[in-house]
Amino acid sequence: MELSFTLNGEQRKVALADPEMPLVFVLRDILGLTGTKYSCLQGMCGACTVHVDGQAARSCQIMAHEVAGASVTTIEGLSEDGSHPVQRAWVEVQVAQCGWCQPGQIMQAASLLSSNHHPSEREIRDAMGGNICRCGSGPRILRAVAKAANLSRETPK
Amino acid sequence: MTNRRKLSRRAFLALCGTGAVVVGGGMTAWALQAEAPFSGKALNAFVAITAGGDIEIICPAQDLGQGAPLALAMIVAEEIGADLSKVRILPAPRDAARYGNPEFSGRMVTADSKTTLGYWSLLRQAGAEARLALIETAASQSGWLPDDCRAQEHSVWHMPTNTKLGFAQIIAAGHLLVPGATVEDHKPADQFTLLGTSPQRPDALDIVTGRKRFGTDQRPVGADLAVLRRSPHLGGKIVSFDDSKTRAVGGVTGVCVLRDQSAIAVIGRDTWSAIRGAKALEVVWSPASAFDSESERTALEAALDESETEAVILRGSGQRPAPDTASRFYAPSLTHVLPEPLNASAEAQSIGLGVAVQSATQSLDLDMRYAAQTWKTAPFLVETRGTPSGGAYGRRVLNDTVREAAEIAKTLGRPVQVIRPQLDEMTRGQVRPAAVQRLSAQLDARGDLKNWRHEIASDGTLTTHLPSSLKGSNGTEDNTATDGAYHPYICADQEVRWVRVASLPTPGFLRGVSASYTVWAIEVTLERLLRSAGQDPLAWRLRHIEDARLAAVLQRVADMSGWGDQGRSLGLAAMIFRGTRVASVVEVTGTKVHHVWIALDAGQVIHHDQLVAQVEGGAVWGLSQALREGLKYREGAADLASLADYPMLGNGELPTIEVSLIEQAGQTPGGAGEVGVPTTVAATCNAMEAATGRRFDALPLDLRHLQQVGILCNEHT
Repeated sequence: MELSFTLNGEQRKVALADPEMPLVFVLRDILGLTGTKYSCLQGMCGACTVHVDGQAARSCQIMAHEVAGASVTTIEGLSEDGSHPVQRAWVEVQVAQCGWCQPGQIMQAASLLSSNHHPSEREIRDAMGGNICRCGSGPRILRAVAKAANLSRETPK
Repeated sequence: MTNRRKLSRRAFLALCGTGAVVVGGGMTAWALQAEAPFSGKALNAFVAITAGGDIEIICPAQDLGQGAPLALAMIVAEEIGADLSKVRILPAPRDAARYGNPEFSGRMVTADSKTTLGYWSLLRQAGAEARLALIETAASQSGWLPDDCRAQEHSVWHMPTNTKLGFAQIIAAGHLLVPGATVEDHKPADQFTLLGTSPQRPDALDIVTGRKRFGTDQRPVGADLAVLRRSPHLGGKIVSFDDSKTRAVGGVTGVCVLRDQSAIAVIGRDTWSAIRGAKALEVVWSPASAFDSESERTALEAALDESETEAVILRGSGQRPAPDTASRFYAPSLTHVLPEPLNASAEAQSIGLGVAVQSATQSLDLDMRYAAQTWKTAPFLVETRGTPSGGAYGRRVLNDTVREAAEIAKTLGRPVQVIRPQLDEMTRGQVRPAAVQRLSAQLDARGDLKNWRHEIASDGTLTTHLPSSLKGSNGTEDNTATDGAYHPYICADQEVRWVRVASLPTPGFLRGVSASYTVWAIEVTLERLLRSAGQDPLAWRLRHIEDARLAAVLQRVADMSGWGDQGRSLGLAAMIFRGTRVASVVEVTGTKVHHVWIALDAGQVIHHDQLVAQVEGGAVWGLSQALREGLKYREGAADLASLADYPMLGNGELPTIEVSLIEQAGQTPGGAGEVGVPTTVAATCNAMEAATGRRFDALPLDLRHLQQVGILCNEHT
């Protein structure tokens, strides 16, 4: 099939042998965007989180043909220079250890903050609860999301 | 002292040894590999200075996310007086003679919380040599006395005149004088300005923008991707298989049976075709064994009961076993749940005589060994390259995907990258082996420890894989099975011993290894004893610990947590591990952990915030072990259908974790990566016993009954 979709704001057309190839492998293996990671391949860890039409989604559970015509944003498209409030907060709080799960964590957090500018601690915990960080950066992730919410409110749109 | 001199000589190899000449000639593969990746002029094996005055520092450790590259570079930069913004960190080539960790018998292994600890003296020496070279050269150029000069802010300052020469100016003038350095030349700790601070990691921006590239992200050009189909149960071998459906999958470029008949590799042009192809294989496997976690536990208990079982004696004579009335403690098998899949790529080198492997690894030396054995070639014909790892936690030490990659590349005659999906590794991979312990202790009339009998039964990871690494007077002690058993309390009559019981799952290293259960058994036994004797667990520990630094840590964590307040359910635990003194207090409300305090003394603090992050991460790992984790086996196979069958503590459930450091300027840094784990497991159990009045004899703590019958309130907001 020829998959046509919007990726990080650009119109893309990709020839695919298997229309059921999970989006994460379209991104990584076909398009070379390795910023999106994967771990469990079962939609249970959150490492492969991207935005599909503005919503956080597990890209290992989405087949290529399902994003035809959709708009997909990956970590590479959040901001190239790390200026997105979530990325800034992540750097300031020194969240990352190995860093593997962090693109997924960041995309998950960005999705929360795009719909909720004043998340409570409970809402942050609920939103981030499905993203696993095995290094144990969880306490910092929760702090960084709260900080990002503050930074977003300060940043003029 | 002799050790340090040796290190110094080693640090100079690049300058005045024959190595530099051979490297320059490029005569052999060995020499090419041993070349340090400097672009500037080498001052020793670890430090070079570029024409522009930037300092290049070799990082001998792998980047596993623990922050070693920055921390190790900070040690060198501190000694040199270099500005961190003008420092470039370069990964070391595989050259154990120059870059091996003295704490690992000189091997290049990044593990066991020994990186900063092991390289501390060596890197200070390398930095001091570089500093004195810059000072000597600047002094000679300017007519200063070297003793009047100091190196700081990337310049050599002449103190009497308050004038300076920047490192760039010094190198621009040409030839560098290299006077060498002794231990006495190491910078006094009271002059440290960089160590103990928290500079930003050089890869922070790359991580948050998705640009950091790990092993899985770096498939070599021209390499296809291989995924293995392995037996659903432990030890299964191929009886027969049909790959016709696999070969029909688009993108599949090859099928390859491993020599030992344990797996079939499917090679594809991309990850998805290899995964699909592997799934499409129809395989008949040899039958599963009857092995399960219950029978394993029974075998471990039986080994403690049988007096004729040969034990490794850690303390005492081993002649007086624990009585049958001793408390028993069961710790289950654990799996790493590696974030980044295990991965390795291999490609023939030197007209097929040798092989180049690249992997997210914890040890270039062990990767080399695996590749050389598999390729049937000599070590010098194996080129190894490490990439950053997406998590490691001990799993990438015995990095067996290197074997698979080498075998498949050799069989196919073309380069390949092997990826092992997470669930495959969890189902059939290495585990922190299960353990059973028996522990009894008594207090005398004065409240001192009268006797102590601690017995441990488990498989041994070093014993199985690396028997030459065993320690102890008889060369039989496996520290991955005995770590943590050496408690810090005064007691004249002690027996501590370990019995190895070989088991079916492949034993492996895992963050905290045995200490996370030995310290659990020790600290829980002690706290039960003290509570029933009406002794305060903090006051008693303070009276029965000889180590003043550990006592200070205990006092600190008590102050932080408000130890002694009435009506709270608090648990305490303490230990010394890799030179680090650490104590945890955990508070439980109902059956919920809602606060963890940790105090530690890890000697000289290198990167303050990264050290705190390591300890926080260790605490999360400890909480998860205490409350959730356990890998069960049934009918010869791991009882796992998905990640959901291996519960872990998630982001949403984390308690508040507070870490406080007691800094010891100039003291050799202690371990960091694992030190947050064991005392957190133990303190969690102690708090839970204080809160519920029950005793827990197994990990993870079984709270289901308490929660179901509604004895206790589990709500906390």
